Amino acid sequence: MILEIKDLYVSVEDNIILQGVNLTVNGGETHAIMGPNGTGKSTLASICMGHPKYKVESGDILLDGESILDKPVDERSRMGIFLAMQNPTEVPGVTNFDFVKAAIQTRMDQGKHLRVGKFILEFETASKDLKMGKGLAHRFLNQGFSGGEKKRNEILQMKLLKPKVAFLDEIDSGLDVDALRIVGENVTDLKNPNLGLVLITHYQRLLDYIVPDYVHVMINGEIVKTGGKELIAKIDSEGYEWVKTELGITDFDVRKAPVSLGTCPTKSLK
Amino acid sequence: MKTPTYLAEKKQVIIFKQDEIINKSRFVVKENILSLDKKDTLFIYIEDYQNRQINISIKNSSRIRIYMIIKSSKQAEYDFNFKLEESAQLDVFSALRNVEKTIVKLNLKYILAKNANLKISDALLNMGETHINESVYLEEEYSEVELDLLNIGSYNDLYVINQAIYHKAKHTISNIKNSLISNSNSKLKYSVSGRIFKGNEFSSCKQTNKGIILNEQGEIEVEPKLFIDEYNVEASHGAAIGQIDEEQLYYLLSRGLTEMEARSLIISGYTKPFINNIKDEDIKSLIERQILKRIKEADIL
Repeated sequence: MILEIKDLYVSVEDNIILQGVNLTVNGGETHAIMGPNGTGKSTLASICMGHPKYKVESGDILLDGESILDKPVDERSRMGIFLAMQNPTEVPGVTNFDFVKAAIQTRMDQGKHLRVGKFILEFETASKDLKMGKGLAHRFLNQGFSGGEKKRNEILQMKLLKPKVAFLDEIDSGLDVDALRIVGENVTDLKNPNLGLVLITHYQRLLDYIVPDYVHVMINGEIVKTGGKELIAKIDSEGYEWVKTELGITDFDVRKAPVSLGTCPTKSLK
Repeated sequence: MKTPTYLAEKKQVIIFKQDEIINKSRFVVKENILSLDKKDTLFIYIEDYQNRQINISIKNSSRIRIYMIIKSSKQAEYDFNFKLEESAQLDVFSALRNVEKTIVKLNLKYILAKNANLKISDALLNMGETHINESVYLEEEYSEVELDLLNIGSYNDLYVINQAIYHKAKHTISNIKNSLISNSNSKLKYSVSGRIFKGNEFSSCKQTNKGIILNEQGEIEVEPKLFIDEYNVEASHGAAIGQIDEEQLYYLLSRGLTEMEARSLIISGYTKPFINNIKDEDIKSLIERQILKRIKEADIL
């Protein structure tokens, strides 16, 4: 598996959010993307998933050499892209079990049927691994879930859907220490040569459990620095100011697409 | 007269068809008055019945479950009067399933005595024009009603539904849950009101109305109303009507479901909790088939 993001520019409502992002994720690699609030980390994950709110201005995203820009959200998912969302949506009336079952069935070749018994066992095992408690299968999707339960439910889906590349968007927010450890251990267990992981986080604590191979710092919509684990401790103790100072980045570097302020009244002379 | 297949194996069945009553139950029907006692499940099938009024009385401390299927091939109007005596429990499921476009009018009235407990499940899946006035009178203390309704409209169907709960004693509880789906040009008009009269403290009156409009020409209109004349009570109402939520759709798509599968699953979120509450497997399967047919024939997806 190889995911390549090439010189990607992305806008939302005429504001350029990503300004030439380049990133390559190979199977078996874990990348952490860190950066101050509002620098485009979540936008990067959302645009890879195909969220309709975002618009690609230029650049490309390739999965195993094939551009996915023209693929709809569902097809990207079936191709192997997964996004564990920051705020998973509640879907009343739809049980967790029916939802995950439908997501697995839709990936199966035509004519093949899901072996329900085997699936129930897998669901229960995943649920137990994540300490989700009994009755999860019959609860409505994310409805009434605590913040931590929602995040664990995202990882449960990831375990069962077995993606090629997974973006975990601030999966650590809303998790207490024990839940963070459970999520961390489960994600680490999933690591394999066919899975590329992209962790989006603000804090070191998640990366204590899911150790990244590469750490990227994103500022003003660009990956401005890439390094190894040593970057995490430095960011945790010193923040991002040193990166800005080192690279000469100012807060005024936020660029926007040209916008019209309106037209001036004109009078034509006859 | 032919008994519908799904009722063939049932022990307690009463059929009201045209000018006939076929009573295959242990209960006595006398001049359209039915008196139900002890613990039992009764299936009532009504098809183009000529008499307008049916009165049903649930005796003291009885526990009765009724499945009532109403089918009309022509214009019909019925008055159903239910009376629950002290500590009676009634779980009544009713389904309208006329197969041809016609006008059906129903007046449903429930009167509850002390400690009586009523659970109503209404499935409105019929074609044509439907007018329903459903009133529940919580006459005495500790009486309680829960009303779940599922309405799927399509084509040019019109539904005009008035639901009213009257809290006429202290410590009375009501809870209405309406799930509404409008497709094609169907119009669903609901007036949902709860009244707590003065002095009836420690009562609780709640209602939720949720609806999806699947087509720009469809309409769902809900007027949730509370008339509260007492301070020490709980009351809440709400109506959430709209098109399919874009964020819900995106979430399901992001897990690989096609748009059709995702829309179907979101719609099932409205129908499935209702279906799952139907205890009788034959009736459950009948309603499931009817919902599916209605969704398919209406091209909702």
